[in-house]
Amino acid sequence: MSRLVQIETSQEGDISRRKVLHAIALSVTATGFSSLEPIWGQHIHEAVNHEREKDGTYAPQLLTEHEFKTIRHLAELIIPADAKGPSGAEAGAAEFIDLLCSQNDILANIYKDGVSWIDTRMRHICKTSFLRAPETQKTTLLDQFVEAELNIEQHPELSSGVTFFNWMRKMSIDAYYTSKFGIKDIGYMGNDTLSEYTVPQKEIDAMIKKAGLA
Amino acid sequence: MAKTTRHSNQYDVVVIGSGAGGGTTTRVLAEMGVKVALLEAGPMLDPATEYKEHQWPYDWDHRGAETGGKAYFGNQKPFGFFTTTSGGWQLDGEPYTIGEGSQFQWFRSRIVGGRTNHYGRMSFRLSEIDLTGYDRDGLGLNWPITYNEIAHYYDKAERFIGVTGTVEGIPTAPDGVFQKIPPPKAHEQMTRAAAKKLGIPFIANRRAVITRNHNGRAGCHYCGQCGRGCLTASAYASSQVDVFPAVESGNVTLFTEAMAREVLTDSSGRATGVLYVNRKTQREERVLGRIVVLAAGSCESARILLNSKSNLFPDGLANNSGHVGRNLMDSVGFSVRGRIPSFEGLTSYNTDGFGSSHLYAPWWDWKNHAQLGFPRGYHIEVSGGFGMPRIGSFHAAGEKYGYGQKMKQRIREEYGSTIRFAGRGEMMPNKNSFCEIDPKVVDKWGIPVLRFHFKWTDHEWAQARHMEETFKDIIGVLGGRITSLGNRWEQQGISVPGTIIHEVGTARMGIDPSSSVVNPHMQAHDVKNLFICDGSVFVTNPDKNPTLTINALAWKAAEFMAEELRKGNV
Repeated sequence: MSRLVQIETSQEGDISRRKVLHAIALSVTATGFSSLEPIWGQHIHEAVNHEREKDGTYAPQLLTEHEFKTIRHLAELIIPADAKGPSGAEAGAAEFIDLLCSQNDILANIYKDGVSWIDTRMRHICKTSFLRAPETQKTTLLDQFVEAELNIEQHPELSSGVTFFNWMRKMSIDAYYTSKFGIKDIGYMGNDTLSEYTVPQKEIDAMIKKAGLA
Repeated sequence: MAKTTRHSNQYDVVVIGSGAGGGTTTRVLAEMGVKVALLEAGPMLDPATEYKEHQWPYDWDHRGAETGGKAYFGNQKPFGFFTTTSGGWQLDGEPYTIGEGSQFQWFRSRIVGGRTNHYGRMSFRLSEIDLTGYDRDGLGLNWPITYNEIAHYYDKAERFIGVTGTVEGIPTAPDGVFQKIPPPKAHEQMTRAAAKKLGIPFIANRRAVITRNHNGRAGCHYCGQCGRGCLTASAYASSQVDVFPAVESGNVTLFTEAMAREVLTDSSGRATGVLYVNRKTQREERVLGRIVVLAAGSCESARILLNSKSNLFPDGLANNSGHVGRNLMDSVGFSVRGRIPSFEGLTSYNTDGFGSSHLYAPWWDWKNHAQLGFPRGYHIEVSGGFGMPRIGSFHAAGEKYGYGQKMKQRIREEYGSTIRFAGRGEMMPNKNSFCEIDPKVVDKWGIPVLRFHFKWTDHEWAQARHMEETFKDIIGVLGGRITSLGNRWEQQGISVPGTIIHEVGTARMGIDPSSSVVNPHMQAHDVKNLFICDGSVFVTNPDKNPTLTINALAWKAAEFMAEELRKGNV
């Protein structure tokens, strides 16, 4: 029991995450402690869920200011804000993409070439960059990508754009749904420490009955 | 490597490998006062740095995609960034080769506890039906021990480790000493109801997870992340549950970073110790003992034996039968994924549970193999629910729904409505599946490496097709539609050999020294003070994930060793 008590009393200060985890790992080898107090589980949780403070002034590491803004805007269009959650941009999609681009030349080329491609395309259509184009022109282009990806042979002129859109979409999705916003949006309830595991049995019984499987 | 350090201490037993077999052997011996030297090829385990339990994707700038977005290019850690501790399909400087026309993947984890730090914890007993298959279909061999002879050791292992389950009385799935299991989740209860209509019983899963405090370990706190390694050791890992307490007993000396090269023998053919490479100094060292135990994992143990050549043992140690490395088996794997619209109405709730399925289906149709067209059975694992979002979770929805508000809404609605069934089936040993020493390739220390040869036969292919049809049927009764057949390793219609990570059989147990390597005490026929305490001793590879049987057989062997030491027989 001794180690348990030590952890709990030392929790008052700013015990580091590493320290808590070390103590837990050590206590596993110790004999004689009899229970995992719920509060102790909470300590594991708090210690690991160290939150990274963002000051909101992210400076792109690889992308140019224009590329970064374009990607940020695309993330907004792909995952727009609604009542249940903010946009992909607010969930950090552009920062996520820029960071990985700064570590991987292949990705960097995909995004740099991609922004350049949609800007060129937009200039043909309305003589301005994607970012400055009218909203209807932007969504028209994205709609074209969605249509073309189902049938790319018939739209060879869009294939570079579709490839970029695909990357943009999957990384925006990942950035959003792995963020606190996305997790709240879909309602993932786990990664918790429980003393007992329960299920919504009444609702399950009703579902089984409704499906004709009772 | 000219100079060799000889550790002056002589130990009672030298154990190679700290996984399920080596961990169990070491702890049981240490508890009986036997002095053990335990060799592990990897470093000491520090759960605090090794395990990623409770971390969120947003705790990392790369969200789990790994540096440079490796996950987007198929180069991510096996099973994902957060899951899996040290190890992988390929290790730097430690190659293996594949014979022409064969496939094989070999997962190695060089760290104290090995693969038990992250394994699935499925814990199934072999049944009398499993042990005597030859009598019914003439394939493989019968095991040289009866169920009653190992039941006692299953009891001991389950009592010590802690295994969940319920008493069911199913002949293919013998009951054990069970911890209480948490209630089944919604998709599992739906599956149970649907499968019942097909005559397939889903019962409480049997996993090495404690749900109440036990032997100084805290009961499960239901984060569902056993695959990341368990900080509270509620999920069994030999490192935390066997090795650490054994070291604390004072009877065990742990040698980490000790890459075993060969078992040493004297002129009378007795094993005298182990020659290993100290990975930190790159120098060879030797550690001596009255007994040597191989528990390095089936293929690594075979490699060490085959590399232990001498005048007395020109074909490798304990290999007078020629069976070392032969009879290599993995489990047969195939999976089907589907979407069940009726799940969409369910309010999201915490489905993490104790990790993995709360229900599973043991093999149910053992009486009908004559009609089925394949000789042995499989069990079914089911997964689904409202899982933690990770890299890739919603890529398919993106492709399906385009972008924008509609996509976002559909992802919300479909969340938690997919289900996956995976089969794990028995493979029969065959002459084309084995490992041997590659005469041309060595690892970074100059140790000759393994070359794998592997072929599935019609038995396994027919079984995989039966899995496919069965899983489609269940999804059909659930009112769902199939979304994908096979995971990335199963695209050919059956798992790539080795990828289920149940490789066993490379030093099989038997009564006859001409067709087996060890006797029912796991003692080598040819070298009385050499024991093998890992999956290599398996005679067949029933659909029961092998770890619990490795625990039980190692326990049996360790008790025998202690007795032999006491009697002065070794």
